[in-house]
Amino acid sequence: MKLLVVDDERDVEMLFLQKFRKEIRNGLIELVFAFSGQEALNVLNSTDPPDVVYVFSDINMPGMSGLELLSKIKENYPLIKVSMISAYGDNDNYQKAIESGAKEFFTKPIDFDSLKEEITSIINSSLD
Amino acid sequence: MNKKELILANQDMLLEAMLSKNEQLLRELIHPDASVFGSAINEFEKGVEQVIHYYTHSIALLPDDRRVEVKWRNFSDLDKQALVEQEFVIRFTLENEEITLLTLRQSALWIFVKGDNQQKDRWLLIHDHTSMPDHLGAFETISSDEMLESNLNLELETDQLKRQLSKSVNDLKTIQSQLIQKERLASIGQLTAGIAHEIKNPLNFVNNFSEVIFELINEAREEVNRSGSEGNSTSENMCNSSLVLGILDDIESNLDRIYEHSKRADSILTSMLLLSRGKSGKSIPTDVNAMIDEYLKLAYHGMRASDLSFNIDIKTSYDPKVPKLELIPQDISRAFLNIINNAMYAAYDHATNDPARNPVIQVSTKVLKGRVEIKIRDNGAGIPDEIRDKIYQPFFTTKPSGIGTGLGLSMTHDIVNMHNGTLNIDSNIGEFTEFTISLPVNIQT
Repeated sequence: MKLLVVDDERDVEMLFLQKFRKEIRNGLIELVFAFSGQEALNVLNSTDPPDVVYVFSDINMPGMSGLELLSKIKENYPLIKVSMISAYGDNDNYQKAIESGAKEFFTKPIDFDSLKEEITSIINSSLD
Repeated sequence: MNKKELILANQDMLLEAMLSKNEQLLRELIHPDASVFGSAINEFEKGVEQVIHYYTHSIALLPDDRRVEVKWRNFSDLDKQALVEQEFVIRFTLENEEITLLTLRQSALWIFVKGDNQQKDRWLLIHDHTSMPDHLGAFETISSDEMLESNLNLELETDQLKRQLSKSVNDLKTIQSQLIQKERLASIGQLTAGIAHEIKNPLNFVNNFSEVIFELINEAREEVNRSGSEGNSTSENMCNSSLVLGILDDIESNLDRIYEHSKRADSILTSMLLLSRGKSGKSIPTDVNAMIDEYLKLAYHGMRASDLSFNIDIKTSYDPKVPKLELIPQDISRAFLNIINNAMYAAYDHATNDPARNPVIQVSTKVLKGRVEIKIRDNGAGIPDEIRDKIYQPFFTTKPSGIGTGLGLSMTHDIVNMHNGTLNIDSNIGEFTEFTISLPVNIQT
């Protein structure tokens, strides 16, 4: 199962790879990374249909914001799940994200336990 | 020098000595039996010391910066005596204002004194009659007392005016420094959210990476425990040293990330402290590329925090050959920040009126023949020609009231000048504005 993580902070890659190293080692998930909204769309467009099933995106990024990316993904690939991860956990961002079809809304610093729960539940539902 | 020239020169010297209260010179010009004459008998002063006293304590009580202009002069040759009649005006300048203090008419009688062994022939003042025009414009003799009083009054009035003016000037200086402080605080206030975000990011990483390190240590410990004690080493139970070494590598690189991110948080706080510091600091070798990049991020997050819909495409191109420059960091950073803020505001503002438009800010640095050029370009509405020369004026702003103080660019201009740099603008209406800051390379490598 391929997951795409979008964040303009490059260290997010190293962090996720280490946090999910067991799941990756056991072949449960595969992680790919993009460092801007546009790069994320490029990743999704690179295969037809996209092999990514879940996108975790930051909101505050230069250029295309996470919320714009969310709308574009929902418009073009309604089946891909998208959750937002933002340092701004305010109501305004939350409402916009949920209205635009985000599945979950995580705040930074990332609580990896709840993120793992979410990913585990997706893995389980795909196995069912 | 003929007789007339000689006497007129003495007359000039007398005036100068009187105004500068040069008693020594007065003594050389005044006859021992000289007298001055007021309007009545009792104003009559006789004897060189009394005359000197009259000159130095009455009509000489004038402001230090006065100028004396002789309006007209008449010379009558009376053989062994000579009469000089003249009118002169005394003016002075008070805070750029030319003020006519008084007009005097003087009749001075000079007398020839034959020289002896010790002294040459000379002309000395034997009698002076000075009068002042009254308020009707007619000339009337005034007494030394009246003159003294009127001079003292004038002096008091002048002092009062000067005090009032200097108070006003001080008040204005206070207001000016308050406004500069306000502008400084406004830019910090706007930045606070950006700074909070920029510090939260690295701290989140410090937090997350240290968490991962705990997990890695546990994993390594489990592996070592699993392999059991030494005597019990079947191939099954062998400690997987490559796994443990891999974990140690991860721990090492995580610690490196923690170090980098805490340094980043530190440098952001340092920048913020620089901005809030009121006094100008010292010039130090400064990495312009790093500084601009930092403030670009701070400005971006500051804008975002005050308006969640704000977004902008940031394009950067830093010349890696840009050397360190000797700059005052807290000043020059404020200049960069002002221009970056303006550019972001302009690009975003222009794009909100035109949904097809994507706000973009482009920042680049380049080394050019002994100078470093920094370009900050936005695709905002541009600066119309008619306000191009006004934008550096203090308090000039095109932003809605309450949003801009109008001091940003004026301060920026001053700061760049102070660093011997130049600030240029290129702009096309409806298309773009590009600020170019050019700073001299001032460190020899």
